[in-house]
Amino acid sequence: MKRTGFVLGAVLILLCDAIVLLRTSLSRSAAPIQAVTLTERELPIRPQEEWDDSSVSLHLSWNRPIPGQAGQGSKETVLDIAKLRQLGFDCPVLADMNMAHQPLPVVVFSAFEFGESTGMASTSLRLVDASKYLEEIRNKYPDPRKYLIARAVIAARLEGSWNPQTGKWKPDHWAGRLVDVLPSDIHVPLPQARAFRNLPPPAADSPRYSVTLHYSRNLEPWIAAVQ
Amino acid sequence: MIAKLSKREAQQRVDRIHAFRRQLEDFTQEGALELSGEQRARLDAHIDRTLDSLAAQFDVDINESQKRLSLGMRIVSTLGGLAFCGALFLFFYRYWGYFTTPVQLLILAAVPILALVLLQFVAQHDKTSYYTGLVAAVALASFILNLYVLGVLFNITPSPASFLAWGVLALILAYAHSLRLLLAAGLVLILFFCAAILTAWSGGYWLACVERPETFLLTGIGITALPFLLRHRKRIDFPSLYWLIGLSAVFLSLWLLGYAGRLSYLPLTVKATEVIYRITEFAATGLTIGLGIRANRLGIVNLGSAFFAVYLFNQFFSWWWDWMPKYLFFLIIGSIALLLLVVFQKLRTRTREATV
Repeated sequence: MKRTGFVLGAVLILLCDAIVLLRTSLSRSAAPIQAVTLTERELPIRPQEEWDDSSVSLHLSWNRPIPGQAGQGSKETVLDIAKLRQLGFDCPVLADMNMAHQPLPVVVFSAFEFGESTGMASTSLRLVDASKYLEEIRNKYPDPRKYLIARAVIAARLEGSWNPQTGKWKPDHWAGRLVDVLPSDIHVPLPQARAFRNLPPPAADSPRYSVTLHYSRNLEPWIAAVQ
Repeated sequence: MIAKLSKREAQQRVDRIHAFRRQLEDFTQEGALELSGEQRARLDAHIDRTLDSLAAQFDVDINESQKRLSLGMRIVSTLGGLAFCGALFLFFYRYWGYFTTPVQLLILAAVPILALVLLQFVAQHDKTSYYTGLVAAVALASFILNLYVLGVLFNITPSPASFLAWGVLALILAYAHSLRLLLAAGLVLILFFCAAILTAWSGGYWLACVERPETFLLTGIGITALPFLLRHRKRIDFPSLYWLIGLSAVFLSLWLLGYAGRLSYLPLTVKATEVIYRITEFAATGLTIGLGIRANRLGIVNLGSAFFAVYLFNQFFSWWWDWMPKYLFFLIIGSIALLLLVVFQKLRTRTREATV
């Protein structure tokens, strides 16, 4: 039994590694479906000190809402009730908050706009649209100089308003929220990682680097060039 | 006969021999049994030989102080295994940025295989299974590191399949070396994988499975039922771990759903969902206690009773805490505990009478 365990364990480990390597090699050997060039604004270096991590990785940075301001979670968001229904959320009209079940977040294909903001103060990767179908979103946003297409996790939530007279929450509107971009961290392999270790101090007005990302059919990116 | 025993069975035999010896002393003192000097000497010699043989072959505990030390060694071995896993992760993270991708891949694939080779070597020389457990934990951790870092290296979209692979390796090692810690790890990983897959099948993002406790509820029922389908003749201590993990998943899911009905798949109002699950909580714990008593499984009875008490306290808290004076609340809880004691005592007496 011990010998069988050893053989089965070793086969499992090697099989899993082989599947990962084969899958990656096949998806990267085909022509990339998307090539985008992003700067430090959209792809800042991920701080690694916490775990004493010696690797370098970049983090896709998108607009996050500021509580109390218009943006995600409010009525003005891109992810309004019509868009949420297109993405598969039910969003029923409810008379009572007690009726509302928490819908599960879903993975969809999203278009992010970038490159218009100036300076380093804010990120310029903004969610502009989402769809259940990759081809639909690619056809709608074909320009890789302006749009990045990636998988994203979207959640929907019924927002309520407090009614002081009844002492209860009243359903107001459904709002969508961008939870994550998949994958949001991009590993920098060693030849290119050296360039990131020797960067000058951050400048206030201009990004220090730009990176060309290639995306495979699985929408998994890799670094093609660093400038 | 002895050679066919498992370590657990050998320990149970040692415990039975000690109980027999104590009982023999009592009967002799009470005058109920009188052995001749020759009979007694022959019996003692046989018992000592059997104990020596069991101790030599299985490294079982032949007295109480050895048992206490063994418990300490189990705790130390578990903590040591966890510490080694942490060291492995942090050591790799500290230096992997200085290696090229091919070197990283070589290290990632080689470490778990080397850990398996080391496990094989240790298992052949370790009668106690403490060192075996420790190395097996390191082997599992290195495989977790392997798949996780491969995903990071190639920017792969996270998938629940990794949990299946990790769980399967943990189960392989658990069954190959009779390791309860690895079995527990494997079952938890498989539990999470099944919950994630059920969530993905229902159209959601797999990592959101924690927002749908029903996925854990179903998987927990499956894990609890498994030992009834797969007989464990050699590893008699494994089914109890299946029940512990399966039932814990079931009870925790029910507790969450009774508290937050908005997390349910049921197409009912939040309030109705919570009421249904609160009733189910009590039915499930009652059924578990009943079945545990019938099957003479003390662990199942204890688990059912513990969750029954938690559910009861939770229910009373939600009903009364806000409006009732706090002293009265605790007075009622204490009175109910007394009432339950009386009920359990009657149940115990009835069970004893039935046995007699």
